[in-house]
Amino acid sequence: MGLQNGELHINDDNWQDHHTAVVDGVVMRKGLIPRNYTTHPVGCYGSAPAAVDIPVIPRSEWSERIKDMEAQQSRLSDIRLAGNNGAMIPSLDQNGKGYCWAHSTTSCMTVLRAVMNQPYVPLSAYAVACIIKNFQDEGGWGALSLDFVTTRGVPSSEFWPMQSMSRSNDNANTWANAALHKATEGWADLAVAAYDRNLTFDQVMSLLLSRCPVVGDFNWWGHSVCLLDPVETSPGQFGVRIWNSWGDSWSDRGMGVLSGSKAIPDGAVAPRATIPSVV
Amino acid sequence: MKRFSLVFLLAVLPSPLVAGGEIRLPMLPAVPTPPAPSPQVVSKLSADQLYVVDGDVPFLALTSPPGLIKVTSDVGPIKVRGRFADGKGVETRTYKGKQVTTLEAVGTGKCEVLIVPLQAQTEADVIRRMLDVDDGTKPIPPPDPPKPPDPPTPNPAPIPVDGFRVLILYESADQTKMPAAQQSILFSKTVRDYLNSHCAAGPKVKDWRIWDKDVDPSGEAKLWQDVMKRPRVGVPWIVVSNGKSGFEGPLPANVGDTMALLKKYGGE
Repeated sequence: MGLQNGELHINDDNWQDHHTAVVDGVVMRKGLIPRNYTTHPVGCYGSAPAAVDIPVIPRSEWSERIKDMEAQQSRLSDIRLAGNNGAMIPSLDQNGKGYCWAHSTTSCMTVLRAVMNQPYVPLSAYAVACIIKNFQDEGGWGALSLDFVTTRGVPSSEFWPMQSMSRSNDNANTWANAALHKATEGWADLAVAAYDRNLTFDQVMSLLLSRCPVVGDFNWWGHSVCLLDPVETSPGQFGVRIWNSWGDSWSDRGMGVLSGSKAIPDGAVAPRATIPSVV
Repeated sequence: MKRFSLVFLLAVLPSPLVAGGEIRLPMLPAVPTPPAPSPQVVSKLSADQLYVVDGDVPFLALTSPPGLIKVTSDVGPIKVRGRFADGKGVETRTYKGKQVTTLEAVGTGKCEVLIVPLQAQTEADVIRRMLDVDDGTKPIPPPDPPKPPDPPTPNPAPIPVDGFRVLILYESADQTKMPAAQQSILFSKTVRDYLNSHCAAGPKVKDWRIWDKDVDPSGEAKLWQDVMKRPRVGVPWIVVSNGKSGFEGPLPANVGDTMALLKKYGGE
């Protein structure tokens, strides 16, 4: 029920087995660090619009809605799997750097473009992380990168090659291109207490049931990933399908399922619209 | 001046006064509805009817155009049997005037009748009536021809470019409030597969879009910028165009209805 063949299901019983992942013989890096509210107090991000109340979809409706989404193949994962002119949009690969927090946002932007039927553009999360961290390999959190993408956008790999940390990429042309890939609206409420950025599981599920991708930060994992689908892992038990940034070799084409307490993000923000562009 | 008593057939109106007397034209009896019954002017003359003008003074009866009414005059008083323009059924009437002129329909059409007393001195002495004359020879009009189907309502293409194109707009802030069945339209594989197989080819993707209503389309092709400027009433909204005709309106309630709409303009 709900899971794809070969898809990892990480839950409260087996999470320790997956805390450190090895893909193709390489130990995967993550990079989430809890937000430092001393250096980044509430309200320091000015780019997000005012708070938006998220109507919560009652749990009583979840199972039926999920079944319908699966039957109609109308999940974000379905769109991702056909979003490159019928082919699969490849997973990002953070390639050993602690930039998961930039890749989770970038993956959300990528799937948003697919929803809008914008051409697939390989967006370079490294551009976001390198500028924020001054080209240092440092961790961060999802809201940090979403704020950046809302303000400056994320460039395509044509302007900032994937996994490149060259400062030569940081030029006017790159950021002109990045401006075509901005998040224009988001769910993060930056005007209230920081803990309100941490959407509850019900809110996250309501967003996913509505096909809004979510940037989810998981402290237990030290990792930030893009959340795509609501999943009913067993009757009445729910989890989330994630899109990781460890390439397509991880789990099922880069996607896996979290459930139980391991599915509740410690921080979550959700971009819901981006600028249409054909570049 | 000699004063005449002019009595038109069954008329109860005060008869028109002319120089030297009155001339009476057929008049319908007053409608007996209180408080002020008013006589009705006879305005129709059928094939089997007589329109009798009963005058105490001599007069001319002129008709125009010619050929619609036959005019015959007699010296009164006379007794006449027939159907009268101001009566019902066959009657026998006695006309007491010195001149009794009878008008009969011999053609069909509108006819002006002028009664001109020979002693008329001003235009006011002339009596004028308009009659709808029907001699019964008018061919029976054929039944109304079947009403042709209404021509198709012009429904110009909202995107005046050859090819099938679709734009769906919604408010992403309200996405969680949309009914589930309607929400599915935005993401349904059935809808997306149809659009991918039927829409015109764009530079990099097929020409269909699903956008938040507030997006800035300046990075898109001009046709999408133009369609975003078109008036709309609320969201979710759908624009369907095949270059010749199309649809603009609220997004249907479910995938099935949406597919029917798309196929109407984009084919099976």
